[in-house]
This record gives sequence, structure tokens and C-alpha cells, in this order.
Amino acid sequence: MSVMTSPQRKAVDARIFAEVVRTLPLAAAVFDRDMRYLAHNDAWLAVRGPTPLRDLAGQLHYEVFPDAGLELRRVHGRCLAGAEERGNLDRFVNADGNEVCVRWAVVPWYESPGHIGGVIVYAEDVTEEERTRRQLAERESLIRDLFDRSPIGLNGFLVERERQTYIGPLIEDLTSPRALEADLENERLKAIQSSKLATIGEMAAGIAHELNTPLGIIEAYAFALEDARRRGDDAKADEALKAIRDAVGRAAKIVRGLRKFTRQSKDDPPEDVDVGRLVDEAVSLCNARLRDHAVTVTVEIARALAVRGHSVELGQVLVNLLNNAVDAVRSLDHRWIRVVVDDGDGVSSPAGTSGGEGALPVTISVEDSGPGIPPELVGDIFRAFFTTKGVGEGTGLGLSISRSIVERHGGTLTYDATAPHTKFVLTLPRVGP
Amino acid sequence: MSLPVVYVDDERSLCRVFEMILGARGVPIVTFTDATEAVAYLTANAVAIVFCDYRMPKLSGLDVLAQMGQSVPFYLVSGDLDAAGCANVAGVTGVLAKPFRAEALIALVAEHLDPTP
Repeated sequence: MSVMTSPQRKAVDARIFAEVVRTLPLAAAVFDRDMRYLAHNDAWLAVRGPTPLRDLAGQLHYEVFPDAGLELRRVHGRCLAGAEERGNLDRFVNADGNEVCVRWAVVPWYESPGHIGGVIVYAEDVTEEERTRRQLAERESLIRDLFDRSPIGLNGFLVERERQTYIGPLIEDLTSPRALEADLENERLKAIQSSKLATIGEMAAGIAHELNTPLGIIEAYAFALEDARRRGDDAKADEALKAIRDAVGRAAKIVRGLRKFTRQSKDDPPEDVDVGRLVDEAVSLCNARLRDHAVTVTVEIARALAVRGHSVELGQVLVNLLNNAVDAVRSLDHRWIRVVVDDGDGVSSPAGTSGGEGALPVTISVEDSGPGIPPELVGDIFRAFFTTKGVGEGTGLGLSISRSIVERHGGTLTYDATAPHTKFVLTLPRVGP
Repeated sequence: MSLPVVYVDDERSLCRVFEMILGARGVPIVTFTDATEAVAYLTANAVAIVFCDYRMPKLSGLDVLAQMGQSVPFYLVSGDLDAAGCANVAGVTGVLAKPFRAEALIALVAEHLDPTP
């Protein structure tokens, strides 16, 4: 059998490292103690540009970007001394000459315990998110103003579309119905993307942790593999190789999940989506938060089931439900989440909830150990901007966007008030047997 | 017979690989994937050095440190970006940030098992 030599192992480590940096959905750059580039990804150039250089390896950051201000240099200095700093909404001019809003974090990395090798800088372009957030806030206050200042009652003008309330006649007087539809669709896609980015931002640190763990496993087993090779112990070498491949698979799954999650879905045609895999990927993305708050997750799937639609959007619904559940139970003594996938034949799925013509539904229920939603709030939870979370913790868009996604898939998303705990039930038309 | 090295991590595969690596060097090692079991062991048995994951389901690495009832070199192991901050906690000898080199762990074990330079 063939085993890796130490230089080969270093080369593999370096390739994994480079691949992780390259495929991160955030802009990222790794520096040594002199702020010379060790690695960076394309997203970094897009956010931090302009520069004529494609590859910055070995270059001094301040020579490449002489515009880096004194304050930024101080941040780097403090982080090289062990601090970790984060910033919200700093502005840069990007490679295209546009001003972009950037959320960033600078953290030191350690060559060995207590010995800082340099810093890692993460940056995320939140321009679009910030613009959408501001627009939504403006729109909301405009609507509130219309109501508040109106000398006559406006109730008669309200229309409901897809369970959202609009001031129908006022809008339709000014705009053709077709343009209104296109506007709504555009807003919907923007809102979906911006709420996804907000979610990713909240989960970024946890995701780094989830990647570091398999990297640690790969490193240790590569070492054990060398040991085994020296001693000619094929059984141990095989065990190490298997562990390495498992860990690579685990890291790849996280990166794949992220790539999928951050992609815009509008150009993808609908496809058959394996529900087990969908649940699995959503749980992997939430794993760090689940572990952080010591929440036990159980997933029960009766059998392989498929639905038709956009896996990115459906994944977002599940991630949103899981994140809500974590928030709901994290301060409780008993913290668990139970995800149950059932086919339409199962006893737990009520008759007549099928979305498609004659198709039996697939039911996905997400139940947590929380005491349930207070009856006086149940009517509000699917409304846009309704949130009980603190400022900066929730957009108040999760459930309303989730419901609109599910309904466009011909399904339903409901809160089950009869369950002893907090339980949301998602039904989708089933494809195949 | 020297006192054992203890490695606590809810990642079973990491416990297993350090059993392989230290075992191959004749270093006695006891591992736990359950932090409460580790605490039970540590309150009843003298050990040489403890490596303990920071983020575990039942107890954190710092909980294990607080409850283990003996004063021995204690290293926190973590994949968190901000774990280095724990190096200043009383009783924490050092922090090993995942992914770390197996050589680094072996060097620390060697240092604490054999105090002669």
C-alpha cells in the first residue's frame, strides 16, 4: 500500500488549506506577522480591490493597498498582539470603483500555543443587504405614515396577497398589475437573499469551528499514518486513511452546504429534492450553534422521499426553523429538537394537507423542547417584521419568508398549537413513490 | 509506571488517534468522549496532564477544569476562532487551537512527563 511521506502530507495540508480559503463564501485573507499575504481568495479581491495584481501571495498588504488607514493598521497591530476585532458596515471602494459596505473580522492565528503567526481577515460585502434593510425600513415607515396621517380610515383599501397585507388600490392606481407582480417578485428574491446573508453572518464563527475540527482530525491521522507506515502496521494505516477520508468528506459537506446556501436560486430550474439529504445538510449548517448551546437533535425519517422544487430555498426554510428552535430552547434546562419526516401514509400527517393535485404530502415537522408560543402571539408569527428577538438577533422576516417559499412550492407551513411543545409543520407535495 | 495523559473530546475519532499516537510512544493515555465521565475519573485518579476540548455537549472544557479536583497541567483544545482568549483563565496552562500539529501535543506531553530538559 502507499502512504504519504511528510512532504506529501504537507502538500496535502496546504492544498486543503488553500481550497478552504478559496471556497469560503466570505472574502478571506491570511497574513504573516509582517502583514504579508500567505493566502486569499477571489472574493477578497472583489471586496478589497482595486489592485492590478491577481495573486497577492508574498506581497505586503499596505503596499498593495496604500489606502489602508491608520485605524486599520492599529486593528491589525492589536490583533497581531492577540486581540480579535470585528466591525460592522465599514465602507471601501471596491475593484469597480463602487462604494461597498463591509462587515469584517480580524483574528490572530497561532503557529504554536502562545505564538502568533499572523492574522486572518474575513470580510463580507453587505452592501445589498444594508440597502434592502434600509429600503424595507423606509417602506415600512412610509406605510405606517400613510395610516397614521390619513384623515380617513384606510381599512377599506387593504388587500391581502399571499397572506401579506398591501394597500391595494393605492398601489394599483399607480402601477400596472404586471409591473406590481414583477416588483413583488423582485422584492421577494432580494428579501430571501438578504435574510440568508444575515443568517450566514450569525453562523460564520460556528462554521469556522466546524471546519477546524475535521482539519484537526486530518492532521492527527496523517501523523498516525506516518507512525503506522514506519512500523509496517497496515491495519492502523488503513484505519488512519479511512478517518482522513471521512474528515475530508465532512469538511467538504460543510463547504458544499455553504456554497449551496449562499447561491441565488432564481436561475435554477426546479429539481427533485431528496428530503433526507435536505434535512441532513440543514442540520450540518446549524451544527455549530446546536453544539454551542448543547441542543440535542434527533432526525427521524421513515424512508427515502423526494419533493420537487428549489433545494436552496427549502434548505433555507429548514435552517430558519432550526435556528429559531435553538433560540427558543437555549436558555432552558432541557434542550432538544426533533425533526420528523413522514410520508402522507404516516399516521402523523393529517388528511387533506396535500399541496399538489392528488399527490400525497411529505410532512417535515420541527419540534423543540420549548413550551410553545403564547396564544396571543400565534396570530402574528408569520407576519413580516414580527420578532420577539432582541435588536440584531432576528430580522423578523424568517417565518414570513419561509411561509412564502413553502407556499410557492405548493405546500404549507403551519404552527401546530395542539402539540405539547413548540412544533412547526411543513408539508410539501411528494414526487415519486 | 508513569501517570496517564488524559484526553477529553466529544470527537471520538480524535480520542482514538491520540490513543494511537501516544500509545505507539509507550505513553499511557486515557480518553473520554463524555465530559462528565472525565470529571468522575479525574476526581478519583492522579494523572500527569489533561488535554480537554473546550466545546462539548454536557460540560465545557472550563467546567471540567473547575470540577476535576487536581492541579495538573491543563490544556484547552478548541476549534473556536476566539479560544485563545481562554489562555488567561486561571488553571489553563495553554490553548491548542484546532487544527494543531500532532508534534505540538507530543512535545507538550514529553515536556510534562519528563521534567529534565
